[in-house]
Amino acid sequence: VNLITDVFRDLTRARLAAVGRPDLPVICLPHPTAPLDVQQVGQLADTILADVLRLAGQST
Amino acid sequence: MNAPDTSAFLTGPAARIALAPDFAAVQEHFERQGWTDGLPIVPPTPDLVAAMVAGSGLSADTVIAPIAPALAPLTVEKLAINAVMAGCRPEYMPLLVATFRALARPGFNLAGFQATTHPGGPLVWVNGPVRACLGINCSTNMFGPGVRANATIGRAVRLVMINIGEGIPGKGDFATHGNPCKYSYCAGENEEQSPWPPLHTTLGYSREDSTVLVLAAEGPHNINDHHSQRAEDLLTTLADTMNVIGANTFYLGNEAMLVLSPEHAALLANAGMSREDVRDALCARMRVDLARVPAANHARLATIRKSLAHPAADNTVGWFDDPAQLLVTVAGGPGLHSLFIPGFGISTMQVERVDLPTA
Repeated sequence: VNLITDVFRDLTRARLAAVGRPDLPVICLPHPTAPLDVQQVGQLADTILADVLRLAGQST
Repeated sequence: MNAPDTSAFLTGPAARIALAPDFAAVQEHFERQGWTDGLPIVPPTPDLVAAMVAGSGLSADTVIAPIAPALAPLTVEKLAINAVMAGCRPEYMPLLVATFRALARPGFNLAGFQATTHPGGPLVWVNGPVRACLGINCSTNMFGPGVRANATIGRAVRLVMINIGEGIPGKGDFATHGNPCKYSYCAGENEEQSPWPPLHTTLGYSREDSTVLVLAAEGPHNINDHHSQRAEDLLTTLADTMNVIGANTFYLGNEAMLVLSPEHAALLANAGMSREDVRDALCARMRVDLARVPAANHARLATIRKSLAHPAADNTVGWFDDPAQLLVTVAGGPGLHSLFIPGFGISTMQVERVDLPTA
């Protein structure tokens, strides 16, 4: 599962296609994440954890 | 920013397109297709491309390497097209071929360097007899305008990164600001004015070899010292200018380059110092007091560059993990300025031999 911020969505799609894995799942987070403190990062992680686990389970 | 779709340009052999013999119209077409660096190009007509291919000594369909991030195969023909567009002479081709063999090695991390927010370009650094053969300026204003080899070899590298690798701003190139060195970044060591053996002889090559060293690099930063008379004093200026905390190299590791002017190098050599002595003396001085580094930066980056987590008893860490990561070179013309070129960090320099075609 690829975790990215939304401004790099097109780059990620192109890169996955270039390496022959356009099927790999991508989760976009709002950009930027760098200013977030640890608590905010934890809250953000909570919002996507279920999706990460679900998509990771689907990946081949 | 809407990035143009250049996918048709990437696959298969180069296509021929027919355009009216109108210089301005050709420029407009290439610009609309997203095939330029923003500057006008030399139209890559079949005869010019054929001459450029011949300059390589290789067949047109020879695959040199896949170019990241698109991983499209760079053939000699496609390199030749971009070299024509950049304004190269055919005799530059062997150096360009060697450059892309080096850039495409996994250790260089071209995919990361193309896409990064960091402002850098691939520094193409040349040693050996090929410098004179191609007329590469290694002296006065070597990083500035005025010499075709420096200007167009570096430009050809960038055009390939755009047109084959898809390092297109907003699509495969996400530099926050970019840097003028992304247009062209090619020079070499002024071996004739250096007090020491050429850099490439310290990397396992002979003086008679020609090499290209590629470094994922920032633009150069000036180091002005007009008045030091002692090596010790000049070393202080050099080390204190380089000992910054905001550079990728400090946070992430790997190589950076110091370009000593011949006069600065002479002062150090006249004090009995070898290239390695200078390098080691600078690395001994380039230690960062962790009190200078914001705690959040340190906590995060120490997980990447492990040595940052292990300061010495005086709470300092070395700028480099290994003195060999400081590439000390000698180049430029008369004057008491030297240059510091930090690296991208998530990349290791690569060196490739340049084989000139036999006449």
